[in-house]
Amino acid sequence: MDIFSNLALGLETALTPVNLLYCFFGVFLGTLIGVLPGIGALAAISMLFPITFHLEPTTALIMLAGIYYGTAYGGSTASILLNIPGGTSSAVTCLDGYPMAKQGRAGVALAMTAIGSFYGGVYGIIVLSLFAPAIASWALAFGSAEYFAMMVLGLIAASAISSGSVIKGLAMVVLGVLLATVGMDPQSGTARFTFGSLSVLDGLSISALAMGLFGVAEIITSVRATDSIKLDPKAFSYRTLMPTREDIRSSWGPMFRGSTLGSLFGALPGTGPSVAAFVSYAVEKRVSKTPERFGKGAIEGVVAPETANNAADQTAFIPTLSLGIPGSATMALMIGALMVHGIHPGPNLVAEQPSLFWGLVMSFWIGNVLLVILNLPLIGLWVRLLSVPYHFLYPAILMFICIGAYSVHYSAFDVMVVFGFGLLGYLMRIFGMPPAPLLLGFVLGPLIEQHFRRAMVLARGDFTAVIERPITGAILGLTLVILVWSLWSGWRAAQRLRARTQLMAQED
Amino acid sequence: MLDLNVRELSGGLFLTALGAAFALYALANYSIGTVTRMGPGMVPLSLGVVLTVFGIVVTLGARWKPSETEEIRVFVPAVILVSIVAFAALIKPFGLLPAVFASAAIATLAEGRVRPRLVLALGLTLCVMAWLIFVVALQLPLSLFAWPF
Repeated sequence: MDIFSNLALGLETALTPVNLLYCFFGVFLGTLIGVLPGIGALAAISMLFPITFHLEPTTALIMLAGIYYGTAYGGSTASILLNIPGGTSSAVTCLDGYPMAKQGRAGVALAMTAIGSFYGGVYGIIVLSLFAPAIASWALAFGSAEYFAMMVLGLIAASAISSGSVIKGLAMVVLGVLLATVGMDPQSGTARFTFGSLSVLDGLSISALAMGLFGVAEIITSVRATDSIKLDPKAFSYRTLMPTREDIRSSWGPMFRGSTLGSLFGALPGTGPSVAAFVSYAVEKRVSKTPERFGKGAIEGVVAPETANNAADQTAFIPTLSLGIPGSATMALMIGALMVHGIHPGPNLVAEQPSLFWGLVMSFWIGNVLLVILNLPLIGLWVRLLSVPYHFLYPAILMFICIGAYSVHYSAFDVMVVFGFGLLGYLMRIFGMPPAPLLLGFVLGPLIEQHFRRAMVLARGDFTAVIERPITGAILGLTLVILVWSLWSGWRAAQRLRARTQLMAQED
Repeated sequence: MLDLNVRELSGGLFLTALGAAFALYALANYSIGTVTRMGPGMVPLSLGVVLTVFGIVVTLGARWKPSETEEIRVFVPAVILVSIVAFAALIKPFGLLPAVFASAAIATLAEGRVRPRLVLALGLTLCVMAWLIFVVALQLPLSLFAWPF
């Protein structure tokens, strides 16, 4: 396997005019959405998901991926200039980015963010192109039992590590898998939970589910809550986009540490760009000789998390593309986009679809270059966009959602599915139940059920025979450790909370 | 001192009901099979039971959770959801543009005010956008206007 011929093939694929165009669309939309508050990457990707059905799978993935890592660039702009994070992964950038803007160093912060993001992105791409093929060829020996175990690990880790109640996260995974059973059972041909309707025989549409859960529910919580922003032109100045030599010298370390941490957290299931950004900020504060500068406009505190979240955005594709197991809801949508085109993600993907895999990897290079070009000179345009009032925005988002859902099968029923999941999504928000594990369960559900049933047939119904396989046993053991650890830490957090409320009750 | 958190309680009951519904429906309608040869009902039944158990845990947990004060909206979700239903109802019989205009007009009401000029401007802008993006650029076969009668 010659890596250079693969890279050449990828470059050739990524440089076709169509792919180049959609790569540009992707990063452009990503930056736009990252800058706009009140709409996140996940909502945006689910909104544009149906459009990609009409594209070639490689082109579709290039565009969706562009939106994904583009939001990380755009998100930092809102964080630095307005102290409002465009997305969760750039929340930590506010801590030092906004103080820098107030000191009139917004230009430097934005420039160093763009450079750091590019560095992190490139670092992540290199890690991705080295590790993904290796992991994929190792995983080729996996049987149904190993796959089942890997997916369970992915689901449990993603729902247990995410914030909030562990039980609710797990319940949402289970609900997601249950919703995925709706439709024709591939093994027996029985129509399950269709209530005689032909519209759901193929299952509920993943795009309608995602748009309802993320898009519609997000609009409902943001209407009248997201104020349009009055920008004070004096709050930042572009006098100097050029960082001083001092800025650059003190950024090398954070950039290197940030991208290493980011690459690690991006590839692990359950963690992702947000965790990477928070951890790398904490690490910089720890290793700094002057930790007291943090929170008051330290350049390291801006560069490190922004580098980390971009590296994590790229390495999140490692488990997705090499094993077919998404580590986050966004990655689940990428898998969904592949499956819609009849491509089964898994270790065979790298070998069987080299132009898709390497084309996507090379498009990351192009996308990252485009992002630097888009972000530095056009920063004024993005800043002006920050003041678009939300009451113009949300009817437009709704329109995209409705037409998008309708255009998949030209069926009004799919629009009603969006309605149903919008309602469910809002109920889940009220009850404090996270939607991301539900989507993960929904995407992995059919595969889990299939592999589980097949593994049990092969093991003649003996579950211990499944566990006794070395890789399966090790993975399921690790899953159990994660589960117990998160339940225990959740219980401890609940104890602390109860102690605090009792204390408050006594003081009253 | 019975200090139940109503929101947690209803969330837990909601999960319990969902899980029980899936499990009972699967049990009644699909063959369960054996562990070696699982029927189509096995996975929904077992997961339904698991969901029911999670629901019961959350319900019982409501006893200890402190109550939150985040607002629950009724008006905004109702308006937004109605605007989606309007789109679904209009798209087939009347075509794309009436559906877009009507859903946008309804959606603007979520702000809590009726603003005719905003509705008109926004609705027309979105119609032009929908036409340009979906029909001209993406070339989807959507009929712009239709008349069912």
